Amino acid sequence: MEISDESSFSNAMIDFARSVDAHMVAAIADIRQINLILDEAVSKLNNSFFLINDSLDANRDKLNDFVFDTLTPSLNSAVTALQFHDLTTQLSSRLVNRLDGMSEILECTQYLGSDKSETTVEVLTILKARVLEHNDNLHKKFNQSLNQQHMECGDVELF
Amino acid sequence: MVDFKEMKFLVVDDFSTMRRIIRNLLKELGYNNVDEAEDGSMALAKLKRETFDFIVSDWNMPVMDGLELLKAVRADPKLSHIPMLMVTAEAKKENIIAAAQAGASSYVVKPFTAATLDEKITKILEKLNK
Repeated sequence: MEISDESSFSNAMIDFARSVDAHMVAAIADIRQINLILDEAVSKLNNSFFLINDSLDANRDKLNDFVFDTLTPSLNSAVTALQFHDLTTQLSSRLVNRLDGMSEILECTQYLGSDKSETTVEVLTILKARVLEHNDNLHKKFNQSLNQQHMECGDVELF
Repeated sequence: MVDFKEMKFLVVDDFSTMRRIIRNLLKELGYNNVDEAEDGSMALAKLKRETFDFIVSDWNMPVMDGLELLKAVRADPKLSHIPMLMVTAEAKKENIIAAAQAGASSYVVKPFTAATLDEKITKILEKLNK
């Protein structure tokens, strides 16, 4: 490849990386907004459920057995299901970390483009090294599996 | 004979909703004497100050995580007898084995129901009674 071709290919690749980075940044902002909305919704549900729960307990003697026995299991089930919020919070935090890391890698391509003598292979080699480093960091941080899909996942038998 | 329903529980989790959920599940099972701590370090301080009969602890927490707390509890002759149930989001075998090797009494993965929690606590108490 001629030097001029090499340089224009390298610049095109850097432009491409910047466009991808713009999507990453937008996706991270959306995830953060989803988290805010979800936190707000779950915190309202949480407060209301526990308020109803406490009121039921405090007024047990004023309620007939049918009302108490019908409401309590449904309420307990609703409260128990709030555990999924903990899991979604952990998953979205992983997602943001993953995208943040990729965005940082793509952002640094602007510095790579400033040195005209760098070949495409050199640019790609630097990017690949950074992606591998990011993979290592993520693996150390999130080497766990979060695949639970229903309320009865909790029972593990290794003890 | 020990009245198990009078046992004092310490629930350790950095996520306040989760602490309330576990407290609620324990209440549903008839255990009303429940205290809470936000992380392993706070839990250890409480355990050294007060008497507890049972620990239910999350694994991933800031400052001191559940595994470190478990090791600290098992290393302290005054606390080592307290049963400890690990609660975590991780269902990986390596984690479960690590918890067992560190001396966890049992292990439950989020999300779990009152029935699962009941079964775990009952098994632990049955073992203690043998």
